[in-house]
Amino acid sequence: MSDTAALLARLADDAQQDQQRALRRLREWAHAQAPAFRRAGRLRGLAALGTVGWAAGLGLAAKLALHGQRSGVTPVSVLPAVCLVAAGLALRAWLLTAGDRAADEAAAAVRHALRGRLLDAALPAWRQPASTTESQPGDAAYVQALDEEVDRLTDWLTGYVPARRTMLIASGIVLAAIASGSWLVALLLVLATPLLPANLKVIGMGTRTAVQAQLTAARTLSARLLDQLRGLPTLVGLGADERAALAVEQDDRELAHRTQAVLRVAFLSTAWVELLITGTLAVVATYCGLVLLDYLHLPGIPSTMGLGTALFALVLTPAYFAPVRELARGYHARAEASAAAELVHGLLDVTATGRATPRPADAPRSIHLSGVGVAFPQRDRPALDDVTLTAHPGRVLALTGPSGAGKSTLLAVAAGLLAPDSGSSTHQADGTRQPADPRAVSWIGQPCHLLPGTVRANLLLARPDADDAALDAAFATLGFADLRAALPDGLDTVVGERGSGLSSGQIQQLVFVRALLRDAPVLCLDEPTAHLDPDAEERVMAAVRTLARDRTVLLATHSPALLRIADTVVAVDRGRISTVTPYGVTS
Amino acid sequence: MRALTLLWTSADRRARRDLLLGAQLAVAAEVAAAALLGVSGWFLTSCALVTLRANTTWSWMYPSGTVRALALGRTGLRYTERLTSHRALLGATVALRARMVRTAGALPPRQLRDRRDGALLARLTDDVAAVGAAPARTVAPLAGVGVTAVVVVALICVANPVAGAAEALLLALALAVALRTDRRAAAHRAEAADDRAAARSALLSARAVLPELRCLDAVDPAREQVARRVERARRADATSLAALRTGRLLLRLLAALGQVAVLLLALSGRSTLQPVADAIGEVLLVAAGYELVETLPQILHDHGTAAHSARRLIDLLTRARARLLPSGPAALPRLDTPLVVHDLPVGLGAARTRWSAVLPPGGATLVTGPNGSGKSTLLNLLAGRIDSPSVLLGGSPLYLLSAATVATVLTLVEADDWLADSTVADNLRQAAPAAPDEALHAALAAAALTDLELDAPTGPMGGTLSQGQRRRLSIARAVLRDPAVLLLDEPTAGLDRPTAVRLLSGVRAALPRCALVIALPDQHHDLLPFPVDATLQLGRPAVGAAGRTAYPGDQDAA
Repeated sequence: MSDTAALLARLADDAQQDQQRALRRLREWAHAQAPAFRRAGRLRGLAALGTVGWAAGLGLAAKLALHGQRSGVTPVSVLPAVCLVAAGLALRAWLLTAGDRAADEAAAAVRHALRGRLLDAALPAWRQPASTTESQPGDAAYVQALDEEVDRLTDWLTGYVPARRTMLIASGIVLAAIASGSWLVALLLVLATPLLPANLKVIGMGTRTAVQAQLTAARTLSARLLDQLRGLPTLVGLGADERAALAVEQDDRELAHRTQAVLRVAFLSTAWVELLITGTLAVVATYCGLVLLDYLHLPGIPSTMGLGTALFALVLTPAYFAPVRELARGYHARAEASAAAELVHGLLDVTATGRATPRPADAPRSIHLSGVGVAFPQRDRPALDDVTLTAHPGRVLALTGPSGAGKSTLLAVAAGLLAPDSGSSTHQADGTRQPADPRAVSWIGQPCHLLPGTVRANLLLARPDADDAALDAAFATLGFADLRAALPDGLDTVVGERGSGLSSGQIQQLVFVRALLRDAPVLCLDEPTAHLDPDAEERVMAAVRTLARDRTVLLATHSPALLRIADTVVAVDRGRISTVTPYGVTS
Repeated sequence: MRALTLLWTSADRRARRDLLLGAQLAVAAEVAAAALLGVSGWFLTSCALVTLRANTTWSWMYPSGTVRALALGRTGLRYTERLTSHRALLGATVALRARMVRTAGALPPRQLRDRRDGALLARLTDDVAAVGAAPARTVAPLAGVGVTAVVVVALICVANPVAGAAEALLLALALAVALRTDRRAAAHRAEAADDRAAARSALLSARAVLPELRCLDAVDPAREQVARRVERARRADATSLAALRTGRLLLRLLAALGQVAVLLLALSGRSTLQPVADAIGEVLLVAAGYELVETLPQILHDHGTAAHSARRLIDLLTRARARLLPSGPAALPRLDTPLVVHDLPVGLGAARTRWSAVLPPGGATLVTGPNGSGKSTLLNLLAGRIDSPSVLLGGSPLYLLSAATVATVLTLVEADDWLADSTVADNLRQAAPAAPDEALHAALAAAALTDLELDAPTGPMGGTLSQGQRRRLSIARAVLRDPAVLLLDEPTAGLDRPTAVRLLSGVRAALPRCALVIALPDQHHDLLPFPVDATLQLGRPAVGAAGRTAYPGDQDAA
């Protein structure tokens, strides 16, 4: 039982600090659209006016019919009442739709703004090199947040944010209307209100069905489930999969059991609210009936009432409680939204700081690394340790060494993509030294990817103003004219997701064309021939040689063939430079 | 409907009874709610009439009692309904999840590997929950709406056939509006989902080339590209929401029409007294009925979600069933039949050759080669985790045998094999549930792992153990299976040489009749402390062959 109590406390405990923080964040995000949300709340609240009109129409109809009893009721005689009913309902429908619209649009605007910020965080423009110390969220986290987490705010935004205002306005209007008809009924309702449990969220949990509670519970189970699922191939191999399934089922059953204990409490409080509402309705009906029958003669209590008034008060009674129930229902949406807010905020946090600087000039530049050290968190040995290195224009500097030696990290530091933890990485052009700037670098990573779109669009990323002739010339310069001819739709060939539709060799060559178009003074190549057959490797080598003529080239490779075009070969081992060999091959 | 069938077939008898009972209670509660309002109005009007005519024979006790009974009954019914249907729901969800876990075990190993992290978990949590919620979110409310509508129309028909017919017509119209709204909104939602998928893949592509984009100073255009797709999805979403709003507006206007119609038709042209009360009661009934009809779009939407989830789950079920159907020869192969390899392609690229061998009991085969030369692939082939007609057990291809049969004969220990987030003893007992502690100690000793307590925690993915401990623990687990064929992938990684030698000789001593296949990297092949029957040297992958095998569509199998 203590387990249940703990679970209940955890589910219901609003005072939890993270939840408070998450809620503050949520309110901050919603704040930009605050006027729209206020308008939505106001419109929905004012819809109670329509309900009042409808109730008045019903009362009037009953009164007219009753008085017309002797003379006979004709459609014309009840027409005013019917019109009032229709007008009231139409007004309510219109106001509710307008309110929904305002809420939907405001929520869409909030979500859109968040998506924009998420995109900015996922694809930050270059400002300063990223540091290794801040943990970088994975790609999947961004996609998940952009896609689903932001959508989890919807119910909270459209339902809960305007609900308080709606409740105040709607319940106020209805109560005033009832009071104008019968002050005693109004008093009854006011007296019943404090009996609604103060802890509305428990009701919320119950009303929006236990499905949500089950979902929450399932998430606590999911860590274990994930563990078992990861192990399924192994478990199948050990003949233990059936046992694992049984274990999962048993866990699940136990959790369901606990969930149900929680739900019983939640449902009980929901039932209490419903009993209060229906009970109030029954009391109001009985009181009005007795007054109408003229049976009720108590001091201080009105003993006469018209049928119209009685009916009016009766049908408005449920309308008085409706907004409160609506508000209570919003609590589960709030819990869901704050969970999502935590996640989204964690991603927005890592936005790069620093100011955008103008793009550097294309003058030849040399690269100077001095005492560079890089340590990745959760790795026992530094990726780079006290590396000092200089690369000059017009020369090819090759980095070689076993995988994991730190070649790619060194390239990233030299290109200015990664900030070293110690030491410095600078570029020197026209006699001045400045921090390494990736915009002066053509980067050919491994593996190469293209963006979805056409080949032309991908090439134009490098130089937006290039025309087709310039593109064709670039193909020809690198000796890739046959690749250009082999593209099924020429430059309009569509590249699918992750470059599908082209072979990896073709993609590699296109990336070289792009690098040539970019015409940056520094060229960084990471294993450019790793996935190529000897023929393609030959062509890539020729292209590197072409590109190297007046540029500073850094090249990480395993390939002995590629090492032959290097002027200097630097062997890297465990993050340190072990040997520097001048090759002196310039032919 | 799909969701329901799936849930129904997974549920046990008690859950089924609860599901039915829950739906009935929901219907009763909704009808009671509508009746409460209707009877109250009728009661008030009757009271007024009685006073007007000074009718002393009319007793107010019964109607007023009915009102109170309905009020109490409705609350009670609703409470019981919630308890019952959620008990059913939880039970059925548990059963469905267990069924899906079993199904997942029967999936082809490749698919399992691709899905085991994100996609499969999403199936087992979100989708199962969505399907489990179907009765409470769709069936019960739909039944409530339907039965309330029928009862209301029937009551009105009895009092005034014309008004009843009009109401029936309007309610049918409302249903048509709700269905049409749902169809339109769903179409736009699907459009939005497509755009969102496009944005997703565009973002992933851009993230993959982020260093290049930074160097090209082209992050902004790439972000623009993603943002355009996000914007398209937003517009489609807005259209879908607008369709929903219009649908709800129409439903509310139809409700106004319905109440006006019944008011006019019931009140006019009657001169007897009672119909006035009836008319008021009828209008309130209709109002209550339409209040339920207003929830139709939401119910239909929930239904659509559940149906989607059900489709995905059924897809998973059929996939696994397809795997189970061709279950090969009925007779189990004898446990001492050797594993036969016939013309199996091994190695990668230009170094690809063919290999034929019989793995005799008590023998040992060594597989060596540099990283990426295909050692792990070969072991997976031998373990039947990759379909191949060239690996035979008792004359039939291994992959056609059931996983349980294969598990009794051979055990594969992968390079970084999974360990349960539990204790050392629990991990060992997965191989032999009934083994006494002494057997566990013996297995640990055979794997040269004596410094671990049986109740030591292993952490997620064995995270609290060192690499060498993890490896030896998974080998000790395999030793407990006492398999006829044991396949070890790089068992010595992360071990110093003396420990590695102790491990290998310990395994050999513990399993003297076992056919061992051991994959070792080049620099370790001299570690083997016992003679081998055959050594399979896998060559260096030729230039041009992808060292790490990429399968198209892998990333998107989710």
